[in-house]
Amino acid sequence: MKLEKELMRGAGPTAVLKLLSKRAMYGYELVEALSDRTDGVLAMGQSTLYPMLYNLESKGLIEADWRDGENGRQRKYYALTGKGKGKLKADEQAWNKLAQALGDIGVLKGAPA
Amino acid sequence: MSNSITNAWGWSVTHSPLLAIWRAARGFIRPNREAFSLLDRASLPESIDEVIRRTITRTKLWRDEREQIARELIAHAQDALDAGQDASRVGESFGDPKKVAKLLRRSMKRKRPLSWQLYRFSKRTAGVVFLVVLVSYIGVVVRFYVGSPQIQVDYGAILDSRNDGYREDQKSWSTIVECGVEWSRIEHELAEAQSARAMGEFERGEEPQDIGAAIFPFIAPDHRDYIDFEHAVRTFAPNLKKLRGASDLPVIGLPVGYESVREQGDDRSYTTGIVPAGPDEYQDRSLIDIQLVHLGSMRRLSQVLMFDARLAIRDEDTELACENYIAALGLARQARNEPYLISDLVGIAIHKMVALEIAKQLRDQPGLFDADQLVRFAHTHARLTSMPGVELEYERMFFEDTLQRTFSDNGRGNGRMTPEAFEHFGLMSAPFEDFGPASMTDTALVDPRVRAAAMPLSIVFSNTRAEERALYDSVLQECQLVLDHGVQWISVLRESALNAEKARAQETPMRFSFAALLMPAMDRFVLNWFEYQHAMGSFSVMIALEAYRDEHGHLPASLEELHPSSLPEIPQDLMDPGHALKYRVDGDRYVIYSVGSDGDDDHAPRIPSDQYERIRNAQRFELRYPQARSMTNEPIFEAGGHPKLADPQGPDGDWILIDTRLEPANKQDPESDPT
Repeated sequence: MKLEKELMRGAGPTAVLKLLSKRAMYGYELVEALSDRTDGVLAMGQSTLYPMLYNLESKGLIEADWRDGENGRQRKYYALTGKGKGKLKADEQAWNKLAQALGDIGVLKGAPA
Repeated sequence: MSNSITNAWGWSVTHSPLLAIWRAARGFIRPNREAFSLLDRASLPESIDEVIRRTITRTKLWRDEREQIARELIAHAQDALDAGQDASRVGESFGDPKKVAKLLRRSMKRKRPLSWQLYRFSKRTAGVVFLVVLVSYIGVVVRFYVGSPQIQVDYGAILDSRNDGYREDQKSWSTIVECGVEWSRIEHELAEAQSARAMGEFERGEEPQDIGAAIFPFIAPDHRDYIDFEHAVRTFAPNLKKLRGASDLPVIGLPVGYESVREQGDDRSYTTGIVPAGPDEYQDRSLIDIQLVHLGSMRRLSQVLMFDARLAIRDEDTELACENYIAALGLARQARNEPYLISDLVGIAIHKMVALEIAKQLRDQPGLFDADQLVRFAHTHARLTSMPGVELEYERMFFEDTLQRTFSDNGRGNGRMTPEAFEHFGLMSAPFEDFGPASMTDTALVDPRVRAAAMPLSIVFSNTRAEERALYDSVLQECQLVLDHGVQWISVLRESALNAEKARAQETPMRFSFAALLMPAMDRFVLNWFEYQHAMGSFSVMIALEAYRDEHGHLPASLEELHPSSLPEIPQDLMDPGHALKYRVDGDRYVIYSVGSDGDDDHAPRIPSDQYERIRNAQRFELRYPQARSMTNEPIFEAGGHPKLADPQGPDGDWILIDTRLEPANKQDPESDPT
């Protein structure tokens, strides 16, 4: 199942920031992680991911640097900045409130109607 | 510490506007060079290589930006291939190159330096502004060109109707025109001959002299060209006789819409006829375009009459001289009867010229004219001085006629400037630089296409029809106020809204004002009017004094002795309201004067020349006026709105109007006149 475009536009950046909050990751790794760890719900192709990464970078939420990977090739690793951490925290609170609200009205499974 | 310095230096370099310009400029030269070189080295499967190349090319980013994207996409593809994904599937996962390139371009541009962001913002803002201006301009152009004037009142017919009650034999215009054309021809021939004579003298190295035609009628008897004029004027005698007859008629009566026909001589043109103007010649006979062809002739013919009077006095035929003076005064009366302000000015000028000439003759030869002749002078002169003031409402007709031919009409008295306004501006001969931007009318300076494109903007900057009328009316009202209340109010006109409008028209490109263009110099006119009143008042006194002397053999001790038998009303001193003109007698000589600007009676001393800003006829007779003090632009009103009757700070001394204490003018060297 894939999310609608508008939902993805809101959830995608938060998901990327969350993944990067654990450790720095490169593009392909992020694509795979988003697909695997969300059962394909937040899966996004390169055409969506890289513009999103550039946007987050331009806002100063993440920063990038080229490093040598374990296979000897260079990869561009993205890491969360201080500003990015603050943004992630705020986004998490917002999403939790949203989930709570959706649960309260019975949209989310298991929540009281 | 050194790290932070390095970082700061690095940020400065990265965000330098010069670097941004360099990066942008490089994008124009082989923009994919580095990106494709990376792809060549990566040796990716063709399906992936092709997609990345197409995506990179379509981003249209700077060279280094394309390189960064290529490097990242190559790494991504290699990771995918290393993970065992199929090459074709990896290629497909990159998506549509066109859409991806668009997303990448948009996101990469957000990373560009601040200087570039500012440049892009400025460019977009300029684009929006340009668009708004363009749309507004189109709106203005449409509004300008859809408007058209509507002629609703035939002001020419209204002016002509003034003469409806008179028969043709009661109108003097045909005689004036006939004599004027004939004198123009004579004077032209004399001028040509005199110019040739002067040129000969110049070539022989003799002292150059003004030609007689240039200084007629004030040509001295010892001038080398005097004999020409004496002969010409004597030959002209039959015409002068006709003119004397016509001068007693009630009106001039020339219909609106005649024009003079001129012929070019060797170095000057002259009038050869007066004919009705064709209907297409003058914008369907717009009033501002009509020629008052008779006025120049009337002024010149009055001078010929005056010159002939001098000849008559020399011939001891004072009756002929008297008739000539009375005829010239008749022409002045007819001109004053005309509804045009310029006619009033011509009438005033002729009246003053003749009065001064008679006064000069009386000063030089007391007793020249007998009592009967003096009484005739007095009566003819009184007929003129008792005429009503200037008819400003007719002057307004010229303005209204122009408005109805140049502005649209919304039916409620308002409207806006139309293309016809520019035709009128082009036809007018007034100096445009005084009233509007010369560049709009000077075809030599501005491309006609630029001028045509700029014309519609005039309706944005120029007054509406109602605003023009309000401005014109306000000045006419101010003018009337000054005429009604006295010369002390002259500064009202000097500081009028009209002058402010002229200043605005000069400062604002494409601002035109018909009110500023068409309004005569009312301050100068009003000053002229009061000077005229003063001068004519003093002349009335002089005639009465001479009649008194003729009867009693001596001069009166005061003007009260003239009243009421010789002088029904003693003329007022306009600078000393409520009081008569001043008079001082010294044996058989006398002086008539006003207290002048300072309001003090200084008993008529000669005023040092440096205190006069304006001197009238200085070399001919003692009738002189300093300019009103309001030229200093200081208010001349006291609190409460009452004008000061005099200004203590004004030029000291009196205004000498008539002074027979001086030696006769022909015994005096004009160049040595201290005033």
